[in-house]
Amino acid sequence: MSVSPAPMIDAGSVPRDRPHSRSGMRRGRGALLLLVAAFVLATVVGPWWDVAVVAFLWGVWTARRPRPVGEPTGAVTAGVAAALAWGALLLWTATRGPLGALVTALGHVVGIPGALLVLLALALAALLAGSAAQVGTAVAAALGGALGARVGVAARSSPRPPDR
Amino acid sequence: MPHGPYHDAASGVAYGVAYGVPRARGVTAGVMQRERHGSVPTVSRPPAHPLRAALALALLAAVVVAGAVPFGQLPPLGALLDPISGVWAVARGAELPRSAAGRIPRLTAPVDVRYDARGVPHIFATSEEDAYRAQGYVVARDRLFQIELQARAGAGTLTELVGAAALPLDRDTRALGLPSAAERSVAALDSTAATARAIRAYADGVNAWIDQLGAADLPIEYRLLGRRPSHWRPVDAFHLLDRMSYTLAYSAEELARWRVARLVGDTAARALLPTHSPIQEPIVPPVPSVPEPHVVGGRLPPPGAPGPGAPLGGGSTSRRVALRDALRDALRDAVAGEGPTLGSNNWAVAPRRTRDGVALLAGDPHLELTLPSIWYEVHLVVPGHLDVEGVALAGGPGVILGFNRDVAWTFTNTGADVTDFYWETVDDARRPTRYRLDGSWRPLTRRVEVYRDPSGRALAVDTVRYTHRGPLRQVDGRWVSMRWTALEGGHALRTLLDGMHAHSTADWLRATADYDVPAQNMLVADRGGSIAIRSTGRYPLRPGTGRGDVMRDGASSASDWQGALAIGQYPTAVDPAQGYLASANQEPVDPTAAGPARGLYLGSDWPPPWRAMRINALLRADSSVTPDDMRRWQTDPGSARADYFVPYFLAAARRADSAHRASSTARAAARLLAQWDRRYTRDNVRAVLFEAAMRELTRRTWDELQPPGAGPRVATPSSAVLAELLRDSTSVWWTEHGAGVVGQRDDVLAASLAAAYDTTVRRYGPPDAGGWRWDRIRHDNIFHLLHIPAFSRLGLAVQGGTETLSPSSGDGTEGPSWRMVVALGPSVHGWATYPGGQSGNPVSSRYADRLPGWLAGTLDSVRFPLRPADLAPSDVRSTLALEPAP
Repeated sequence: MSVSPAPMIDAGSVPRDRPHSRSGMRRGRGALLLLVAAFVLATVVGPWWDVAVVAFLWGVWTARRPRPVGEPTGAVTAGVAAALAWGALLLWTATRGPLGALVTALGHVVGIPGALLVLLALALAALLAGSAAQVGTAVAAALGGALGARVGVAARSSPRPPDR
Repeated sequence: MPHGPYHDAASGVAYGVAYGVPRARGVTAGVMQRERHGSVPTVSRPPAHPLRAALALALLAAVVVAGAVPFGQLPPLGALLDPISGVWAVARGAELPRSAAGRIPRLTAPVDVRYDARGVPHIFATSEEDAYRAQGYVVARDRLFQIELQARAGAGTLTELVGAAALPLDRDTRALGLPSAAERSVAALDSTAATARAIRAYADGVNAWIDQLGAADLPIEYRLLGRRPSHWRPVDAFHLLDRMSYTLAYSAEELARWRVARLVGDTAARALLPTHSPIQEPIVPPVPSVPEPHVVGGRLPPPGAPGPGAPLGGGSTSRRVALRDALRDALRDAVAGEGPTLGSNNWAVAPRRTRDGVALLAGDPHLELTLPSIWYEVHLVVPGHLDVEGVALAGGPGVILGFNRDVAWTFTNTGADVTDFYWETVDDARRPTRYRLDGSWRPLTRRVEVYRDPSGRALAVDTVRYTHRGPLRQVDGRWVSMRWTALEGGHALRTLLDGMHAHSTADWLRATADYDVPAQNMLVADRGGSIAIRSTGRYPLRPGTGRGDVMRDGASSASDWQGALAIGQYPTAVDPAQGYLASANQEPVDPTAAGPARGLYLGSDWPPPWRAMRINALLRADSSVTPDDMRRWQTDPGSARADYFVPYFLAAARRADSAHRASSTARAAARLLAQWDRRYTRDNVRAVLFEAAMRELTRRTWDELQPPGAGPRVATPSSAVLAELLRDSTSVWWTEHGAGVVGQRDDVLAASLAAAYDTTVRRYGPPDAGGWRWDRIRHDNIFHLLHIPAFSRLGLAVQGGTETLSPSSGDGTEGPSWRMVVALGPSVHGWATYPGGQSGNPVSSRYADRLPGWLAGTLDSVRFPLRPADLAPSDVRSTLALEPAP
């Protein structure tokens, strides 16, 4: 029996059929990279909870603009970006010293596999950023709604039927 | 409409889940629209769903709380897991950078520091104080947590760093009066004196490092504890030294003897814990010479009527301290059947007995083994003034053991009796405020000791009372005051700093003449070929018999010390006729030999001289000694103890066999023991049987010292006393009370051997199945300072056993802490190692890099450059430029 090769999943193939969404995803990736950079910067210059501050601002900002198709929600983007940022910083640390040995030793200290500690760090960043972004979005929406109603621009921030 | 989150309205196809993140329901409720710019399909933002917003807020709060609040014994996870400033940063700080720079306040000129391939900093400074500033800086850089922990151990403030778990330790420390003694020492310092300046300079360096700590520099222990380092104070150096005095110079022989006397009477107690070692192999060679070790003891008196006294008790802090004193050694002996391995070796050989015609010196202090090590190796250079290499206590300025361009020196512990106890009469048995002295009441000085946790909350409060002699405490229901030279010291550091400048043995002995505590057998050799040893310390002079191993009446000032021994009476030997000198904690002077120290009381219950006997045997047998011989001897597996006892076991078994009284087990055990070469090599398969037999023999012989009912022996006489007893085959001490029969020596020996065989087979299997290999049984365990197993090195197979030159016994946590050999030729060359590494960072390559060599018994060649350029570039691991801070 012959087995045909498994279909390759080409990240570019889907947008190729859907030019509009490809553009959206490109934007999404750009935003993601920008956000990763912001999280890296925030972590380098500030305490760990700076991640939440950046994510909150991100949530506020994304609440104010329409989201291209293909771009995940602000919360998801923030969570992923934060995890990527912290992951990147850990990778950088690994190039500067014996991180593997440290992970193993720490695992022994707390009684769990060391890799779980790394995952815990990434999860902490993701949850912190994701939830903060979501709160930011909600706060912005609430404030934006109230403000919009007052100044007469509520339509801009309200859901609208698709233009079809 | 499909429930895809990113549904393309034009195609009607859901894209799937972007980034693999599950979709959120709120998004699907949004409606797509096209923006004008870029014709990108967009989704307008839905209104904030209250429930969803509330959930997000709750999640955020939960994550923030989880990140900010300690979790169990772990610190807050947020700060801990932060990839920049969290625990991961420890990896970035593990290795020395190729070059670095730092600033130190009050530094008068730049200091050049070169770390060699072994991680040893060579500090080139223009003044001695600057050298100490740099030393404080580099030690803090490598060992910051250790120096704070050790200082707090001496200050009794561990709870402020590690929490309530350390409360018992802190209470013990304060009950002994150590913190107040350190405070008095620092207060008594002349602030313009060299010692005070050295300590302040060292503190400058430590604090400069603390003030410049980068994200990667905070030691992992602080991160795990969720703490920050405290600034270093000059008094911390005294806390450290006092803690060392506690380790080396605190003894409670009076209490041990008192307890023994309560069971077997005073006469027997004096014989079991004798003033003089029953086997004499003194440090100071007797004149005229007595070439071989000899037994000076006679027959042991039989057990007598129990003496008076209250039963052992416990409860209060002071009682707990006393009880700990009594039980500490007893428990260890009961478990291991052997003495502690806290001891040391040193020896020096005059040029005429060395191959190269130069003086050689070997040092090998045995201490508690920890990671990081208690020692930090350093080279201090101030051109034209100071050039010294060796080890310093991590947390103190200067070099304690090492060498300069002319002289090398090393110590073993003298074990002098410098602690005395006095029965006191007080006005209130529960809360005394006064004590009786010469017929009148004197007020007790009270010091309120408050123990705080890291947040500053008071955990406990004690009142420590003092008589004019020292701290007062309760022992078995009675009030006892203590006088201890460690509480009245303060000259040790000054003399050791002075000694670093010596140019000859005579210089060195002069510089250290005022050294006080802990008393040390100071061995020194110089390039001129001179060798010398002096048991230096402050030896109290007591009234009456002069003995310090008896409880004295505190109600009379006539019981007080009457001064101290003059230095001319210290046990001293300079350039002896035999051409070598050695010490291994044995009694310094043969009590029967002539000399200025004859008849003086220096201590009692001396460690048995087995190691000294072995060293001297090796030195006597070799008149062409090389540095490599010295190195090899430091891990020599031979045992004078085994040489003494094995023949007794075998003879007893043989006699039992001849009399047809030997069991098959006894015969098998004797056959196996006879096969032993009496060496504790790793692959040896018989040493285990001998050690088991010695434990059995000790247990059966000293059963009289077992208190009625449960509990360990109140004390265990040294194996030298046991050796003395072996000469008396019919002593009543051979009677096993548990067995209810009057026994004889050979019966006890044969029974011990047979029982040892049974025990060993039960624990390790048949003799030749591999389970009896020494390296499967005997291990060293080098614990991290916080006993974190992941940062420790445990189960290390070693060569050596009880009372070998590289001893390993008990729980394997004590042993050779710094092995050094120095050849004092036209130029000085040193070889050395210690079990650990220079860095205190557990993931650093310098954390335990010396351990393999230490285990193998090899030494590293010590770099000793005159100037920075003398270190080859390939030898320089890292450089550090220190500049004055503005």
